[in-house]
Amino acid sequence: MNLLEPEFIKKLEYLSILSRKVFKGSLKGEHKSKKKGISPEFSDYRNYTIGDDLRYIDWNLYGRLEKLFLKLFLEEEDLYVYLLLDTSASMDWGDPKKLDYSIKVIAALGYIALNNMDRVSLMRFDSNMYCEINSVRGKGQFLNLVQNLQSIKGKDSTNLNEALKRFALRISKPGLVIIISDFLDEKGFEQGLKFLLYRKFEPFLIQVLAPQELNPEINGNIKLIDIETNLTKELTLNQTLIAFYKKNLNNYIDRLHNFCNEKGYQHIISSTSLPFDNLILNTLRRGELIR
Amino acid sequence: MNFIDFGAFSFLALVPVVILFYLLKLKRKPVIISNTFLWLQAFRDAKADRPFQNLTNNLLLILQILALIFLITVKARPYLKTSFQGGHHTVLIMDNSASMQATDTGKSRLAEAQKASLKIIDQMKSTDEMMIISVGSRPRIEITFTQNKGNLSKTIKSIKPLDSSTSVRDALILAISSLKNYSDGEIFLLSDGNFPDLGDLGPRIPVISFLNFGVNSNNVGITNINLRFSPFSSDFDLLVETENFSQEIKEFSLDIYLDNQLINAHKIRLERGKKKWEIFQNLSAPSGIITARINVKDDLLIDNSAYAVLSLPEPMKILLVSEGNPFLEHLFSITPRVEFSTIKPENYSINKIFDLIIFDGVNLKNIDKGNFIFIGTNVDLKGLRIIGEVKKPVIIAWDKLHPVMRFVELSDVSIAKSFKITPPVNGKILVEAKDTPLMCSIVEENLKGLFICFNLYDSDIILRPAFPILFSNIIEWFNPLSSECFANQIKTGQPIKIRTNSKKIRLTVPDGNEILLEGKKNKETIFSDTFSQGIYTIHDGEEKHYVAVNLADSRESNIKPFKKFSIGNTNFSSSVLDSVVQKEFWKYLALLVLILLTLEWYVFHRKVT
Repeated sequence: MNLLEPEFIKKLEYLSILSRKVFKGSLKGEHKSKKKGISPEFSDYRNYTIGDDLRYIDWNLYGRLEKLFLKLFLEEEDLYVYLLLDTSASMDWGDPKKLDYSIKVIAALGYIALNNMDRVSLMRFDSNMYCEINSVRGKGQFLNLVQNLQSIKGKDSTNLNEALKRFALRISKPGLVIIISDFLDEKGFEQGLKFLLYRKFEPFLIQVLAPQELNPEINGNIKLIDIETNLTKELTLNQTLIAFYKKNLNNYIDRLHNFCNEKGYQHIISSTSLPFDNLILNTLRRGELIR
Repeated sequence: MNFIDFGAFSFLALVPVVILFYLLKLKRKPVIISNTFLWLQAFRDAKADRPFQNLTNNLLLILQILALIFLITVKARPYLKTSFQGGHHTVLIMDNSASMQATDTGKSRLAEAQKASLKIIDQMKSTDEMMIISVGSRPRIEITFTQNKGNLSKTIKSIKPLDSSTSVRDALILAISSLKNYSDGEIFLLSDGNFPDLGDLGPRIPVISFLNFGVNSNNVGITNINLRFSPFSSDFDLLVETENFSQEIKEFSLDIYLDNQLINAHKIRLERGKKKWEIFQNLSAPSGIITARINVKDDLLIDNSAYAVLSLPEPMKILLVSEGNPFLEHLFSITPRVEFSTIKPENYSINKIFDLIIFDGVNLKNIDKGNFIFIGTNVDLKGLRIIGEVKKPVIIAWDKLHPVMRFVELSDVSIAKSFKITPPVNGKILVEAKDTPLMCSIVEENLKGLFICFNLYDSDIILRPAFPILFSNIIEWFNPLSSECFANQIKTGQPIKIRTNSKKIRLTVPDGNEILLEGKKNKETIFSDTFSQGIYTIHDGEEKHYVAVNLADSRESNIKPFKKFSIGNTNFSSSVLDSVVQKEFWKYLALLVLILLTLEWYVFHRKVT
């Protein structure tokens, strides 16, 4: 499967992943670091001590004050980008399928991150968390990423809280956590997302929903079958019931959005009916995930 | 509110069926979705939002059950008793059978019914039409549909009581068919309810208002009268059956008159509801009118007397053509009502004065018309041919149901030899041996014959009990007079059949009036207006023939009024005249059913979309 068109990849060349927090990287990269380093961006001064690199002495300041100060620059380090993909059975639903759409988003974001020398990890989750690619960098890893994404199948039921909790406990390096999911979990999402906060991650939530979820086009005497749990419910759908469903869905989305606002997370919602390139090039830019 | 067809409520058993259908799983289209929890929540919210949701859920069921109940009620045909409102076609059936002559209400029941009828006619509106049917042993249209109250009243008043049984079923069929073109038809049945079960009269029965007359059953009646020849002499025995329908023990005398002269009387005591046969033996008169009369005070007079006609039949003339057969000669010489003679075969010539000719062991050529017995006789008759002889034929079967063979036991009869024959074309084999029929009969238009294939001397049958029984049966079979001995006795309503060559027949009916009838040559003249009990005298030239016409009907004598009757599963109760009209309102209920079904459709539609 050709996940991304070459034309589209060219457009991604000029983009990079943005993080609102500054994380401590391990190798030099293209993101601000807490460490003072040698990037062109000035950060601070400190007193010269023996052994410091004389090239960073601010001679202008020495001229005025006759004291040696060393210019400190922000260190540019690589960013840890964790791409978390919900692969539960509910994602393998919709027209187009939410999982197919999400895989493309992940591939695009992965490409951007790898292109910017970020450390990219790919994880998928349902009720558990599975690490597919752990902390790779460089464009050369894109093929690896694509192969991994192509092998992903939607199955099992979601448990967001449990999966995110496991992720937070397992991963020690904080970084940007991009979670792509429908976030539709009866047990909620708050606890799992809170774990990310405790562990200093910066979550970015991309909620992918199918148009059939946003605007159901079913009615009459039907038997609803939950794709994840196989639970059935016999209903006679009418406009009233559909209206209540929409209201509940909106409430649920609002609940997620409010939670994110409260905790300082980024949350965007996308329907799979929205063209994928539009999401990457416009929506995510506006959402300040990429630049 | 009352119901014409109360049995329709048995359909209420369908209500659980509707509930069952409702409980049965609706075939729902399976739809796979990403999650159900939002839907379940929506369902709960919708339920909470509409406090009458449960009711709405069951609204379809409630509407369906209501529709079904109303539909069943429609089938039960509810009606309200209202005063006569007119605007419809009415058939008034007036029962004028014998039981309506009962005077238990002071006047006769028929008079009461006539009074009620006049009241109904009086309540008619000018646009109403009425037809009147009187019903005795058969229905009779007294007047067809008319708005003329004067004619209707006149017709009612002209209805006379009959001494016959009643045929309400036929009258109702006539009334229903008369009303089949009118949707507003109604039947008034004025009767004491004393009629047989009506059975089913079809699916569409108009409203029937039943007006019942009579209050009690104080009656003793003669319910049967019969004459028979005495088995021991040439006299008659008279049998009279009386029955007590009252609620008390009745003691009375049963007097027998011969030509109005008292000749015998029995004292009878009858428990309530019991009946009894009285036998008056040895009435030796050759002819006369017998009148049986009970002296009892009760409410129905007509069944207190009954009639019978004594008339000896002509003796049967029998000729035996034989060289001599002492057994047969002796047998016939002692048989009552038989004029017997014998002749040698050589002296026999065709003679039509005999009712029966017996050929015993003679050879015959042509046989044309008449009644014959051929015993061991060589004759060529209608395909019957003698084709040989059989030695010691063994009887293997005989037709015990044939009147000739009744009570005849042939198992102990041995035969030395017999003709071997082919049976006649239209004949019937009565006794059969292995190789040949031994006795067969033939009945054609002018020929009645019995063929015995063996000579009586060649068998021991003459020594067996079968012999006198067989010949007694044979004589009864040949002699039509023996069975028609009492043809001059019929029930009221049954026709009198007169066979005479006279062109004019004078008939005197019991009330003394004379009726002239047209005689038909070689055909029967039928007189069917035999609705009065008594003696009908037929004057055929100088001769007089008498026919006794009796009610003799236990059902009519039982004057207990029946307040209910049923047609199929529909019960009808008697009404009171002042509120006799049953106004059916099933049409409104049917409309309600339609509205309910429409509402049910709307609710269903609204629920689905």
